[in-house]
Amino acid sequence: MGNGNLLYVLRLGGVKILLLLLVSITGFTLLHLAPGDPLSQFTLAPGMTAERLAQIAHGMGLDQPLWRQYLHWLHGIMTGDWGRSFRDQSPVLGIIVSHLTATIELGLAALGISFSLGLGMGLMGALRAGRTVDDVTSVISIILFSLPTFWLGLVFIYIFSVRLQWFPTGNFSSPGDRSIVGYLRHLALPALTLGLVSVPVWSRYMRTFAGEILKQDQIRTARALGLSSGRIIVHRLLRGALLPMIPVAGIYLPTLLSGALVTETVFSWPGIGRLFLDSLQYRDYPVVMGVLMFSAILVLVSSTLAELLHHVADPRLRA
Amino acid sequence: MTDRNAAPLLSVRNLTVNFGGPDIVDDLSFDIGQGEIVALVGESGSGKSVGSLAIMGLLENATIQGSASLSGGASSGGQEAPTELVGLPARRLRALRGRRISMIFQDPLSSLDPLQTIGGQIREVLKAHTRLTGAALHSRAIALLEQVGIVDPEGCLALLPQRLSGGMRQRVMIALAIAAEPDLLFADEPTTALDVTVQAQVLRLLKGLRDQTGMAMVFITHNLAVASAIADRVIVLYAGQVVEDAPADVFFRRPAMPYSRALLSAAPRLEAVLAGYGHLEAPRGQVPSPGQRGTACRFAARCDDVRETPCLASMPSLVSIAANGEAHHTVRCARWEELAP
Repeated sequence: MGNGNLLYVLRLGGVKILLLLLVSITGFTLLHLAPGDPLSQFTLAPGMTAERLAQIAHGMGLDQPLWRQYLHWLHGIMTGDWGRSFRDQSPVLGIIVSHLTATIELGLAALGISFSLGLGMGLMGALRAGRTVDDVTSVISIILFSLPTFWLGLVFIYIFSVRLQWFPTGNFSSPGDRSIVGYLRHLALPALTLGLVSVPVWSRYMRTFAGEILKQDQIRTARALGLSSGRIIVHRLLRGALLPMIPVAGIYLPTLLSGALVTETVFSWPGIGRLFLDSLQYRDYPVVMGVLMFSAILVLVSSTLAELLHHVADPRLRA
Repeated sequence: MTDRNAAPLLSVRNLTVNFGGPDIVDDLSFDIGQGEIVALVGESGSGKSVGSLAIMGLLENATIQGSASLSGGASSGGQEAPTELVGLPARRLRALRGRRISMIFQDPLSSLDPLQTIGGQIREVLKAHTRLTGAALHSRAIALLEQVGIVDPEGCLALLPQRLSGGMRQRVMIALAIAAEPDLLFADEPTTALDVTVQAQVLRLLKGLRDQTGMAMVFITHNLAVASAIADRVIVLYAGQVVEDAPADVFFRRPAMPYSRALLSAAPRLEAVLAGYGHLEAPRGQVPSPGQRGTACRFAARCDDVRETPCLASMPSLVSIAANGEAHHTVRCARWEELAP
């Protein structure tokens, strides 16, 4: 307790800050190495002169050497100023926050779908190991794992929006429709797409963890002691298998974000993912860097939280 | 302790178990008396564990035939009608497990729930079988831990299994198994994973519990020294069949089945070691696997006293060789009379 723990937290925090720095340097460098120029959006403007263009570049700080631009950006980040968008001069942090809600809603809906389906499939497979159910859930998992997200999204749009016309093809809401039902209809397809492609993560891990516990003597002993199967499944199997799922979730939750990138683009869902792609196309460096750093921080925070939660939830680590 | 005239607590008749292939346990018949400790002895693959698990209803995907009838236990004074365990619906079997018949296993660490405290696990079992709550539940848990010889029961309740030594874990496991005061305890190699001094303590504990509670016990072991330390009676299994069933004192003095003799000469004996010839004679060959048991005596291929007739002619049946007034003693050997010392 006390000193040792503090030291551990400090060291952990130090490593994570170092990681963030590396991510930012790599991102910054790659971004500026990539072809294209934020100034290109101005070159075609009527009456644009080279002189005027240089002026704009100077105003954006683009005439400075790369390392200077980076240090300037880094200083801004440290002092809470994430910069302003090249496109409309609004603050980057504000833009990110305004796109966050849509991504969180999509993420939560997809997580709900993938988590319940994945855990259910994994558990069924483990309980019926080697039988048809096990094979079927395994094959479904492998198929879902192999499906490209964008392709699944397009297939859904084709089947459910174009052919059956059950759901809208995309966007957040239809003009003039602010009802919950209307919103859910818009959410359904992107959430299903993002949810289904992440089912295999949960189902395969659950199948493995639950299978390992079922092999242990403690299940047979619990039965020998006359405990009911319901009690054994909930208290022994589910509890024991969900515990190692916590760190897995910490690693995989942020990958929802990269899945969201594609899903949001396919369904024109106005979230962080689409913001990132749009900004990339416009070479809107401050926004791209902002989203990049935001995602990196999210990854670190989520894995750290999972680690802490695992410590709290596993009695063996508490003792 | 054993009263042969009383109805047996458990009566197993022609029990046959297979998993869709050849029979693993083949025509197994034996009785367990009230309060009796019976050692079920045999090599790996003899069917001793599978047979016990089948009686407990703990086998999955197994085809079980024959009968295992459990009479009303000590608690009912034998008044209840016997319960047929084979083919009993899963729900009723589950209600009997823990309360009438219970079981402990070889590895006490993997047998316990690693995520639950000892107290939690004891309460879990007590709640499944009794109506105890609150303080009564707590004091029953303490009493159980005291009964299995745990020194600081109050402190032990709060511990996770990983904090206990192997011997302590097996004691806790025993406490869980006897929590609902079963009439019959199957103990499947419960001391095999423990070191020798702890082994002796656990054996003494089990025997003491029998003396205290009158609970009968089926003690599954491949170790004859352990069997001799605890058993009232020894049943030897070979290739899925009973080959000898004798009172312990008779069995260890003059075993009738050549296989029993071979097993005994494979067990290290103090006199032999002291006399300087600690040479152990393992029975040569291997137990025939379930598919290759044939119709002759199953021990014939490994037996030093094998004869064309009668040994290879047909399967010997289990015959009683107890003289008048002697305790129950059966053997499956066509030449037992000739071979008797």
